Amino acid sequence: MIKNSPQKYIDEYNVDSVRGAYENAARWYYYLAKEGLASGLPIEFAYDAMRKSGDFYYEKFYQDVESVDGFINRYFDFGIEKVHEGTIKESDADHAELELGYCPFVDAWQKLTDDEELIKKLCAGCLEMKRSMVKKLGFAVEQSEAISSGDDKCVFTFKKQAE
Amino acid sequence: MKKQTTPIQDSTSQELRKANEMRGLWYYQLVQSAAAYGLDKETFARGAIRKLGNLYRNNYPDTDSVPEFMGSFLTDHNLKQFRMELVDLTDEEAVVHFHYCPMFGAWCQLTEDQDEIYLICDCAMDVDRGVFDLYEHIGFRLEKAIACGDEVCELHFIKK
Repeated sequence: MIKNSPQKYIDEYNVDSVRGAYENAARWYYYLAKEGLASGLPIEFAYDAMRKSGDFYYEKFYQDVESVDGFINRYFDFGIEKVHEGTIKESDADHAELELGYCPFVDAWQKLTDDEELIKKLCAGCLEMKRSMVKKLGFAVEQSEAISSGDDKCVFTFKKQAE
Repeated sequence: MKKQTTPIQDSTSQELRKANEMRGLWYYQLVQSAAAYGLDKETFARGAIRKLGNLYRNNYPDTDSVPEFMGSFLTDHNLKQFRMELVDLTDEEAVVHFHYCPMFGAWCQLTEDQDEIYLICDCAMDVDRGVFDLYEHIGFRLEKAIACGDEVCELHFIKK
């Protein structure tokens, strides 16, 4: 069962405001994904879209990154740190581990559906976006824990791939 | 197409803009992907977003009054994010200008196809049309759009 509620920055106007905007983005994603699924498309259509979104973010923000810690320090913005209650647990040139304590996307989806399997699928699209973001840098990302799967936090490990 | 700018650059507005640009990015890519998988782009986009607009009806008051509705629409965040300007308000009609749109800002980074941007924008406006599907006595009309090359988006809220 999914457990997901903010523990930090509660009632901070700027964080609350931006959390609301992230929830809104998640609602748009949900309704578009549902429309596609209802029209007979596989969920892969949504994953393709999220991969393209990750490509866009790579092009815009990360092309000149040279190390995993360089990437994670740039990725760790207000949205990750405050909105998602993120913590960089460890990082070096080849590896980083990021924890997120809260997910506004899952929060939005939980208000729209009780279908936790669907929520997991939508969440997997966000992981695909991260994979695309780092792929051209020669990095990979895996998720070992997920709020959408009932874990207390999301845990992502970024690693430089062997050449 | 004219590049839009906004002078509103406080940190919260910047973060909200990033989130709203992300919404525009995801929406654009999901619509393109649905089309790549064989769906009609416009039917898909309008179908999804109109339903979302129906959900958003819950964010607004049960009222027949255009001024009362505008009180709930013209929130601090909306005013700043879209540089909204209430240009006219009577009991019969409200006219609002949006001088900036973060989603349009995202789409301009994704394509130079102005017809595509116009279509994407008009389908996205089904979110507002969806709200007014569920109002018996207030209607909505989009008269101008930045995505069409207009200086502003011009939204009309009309007593039916």
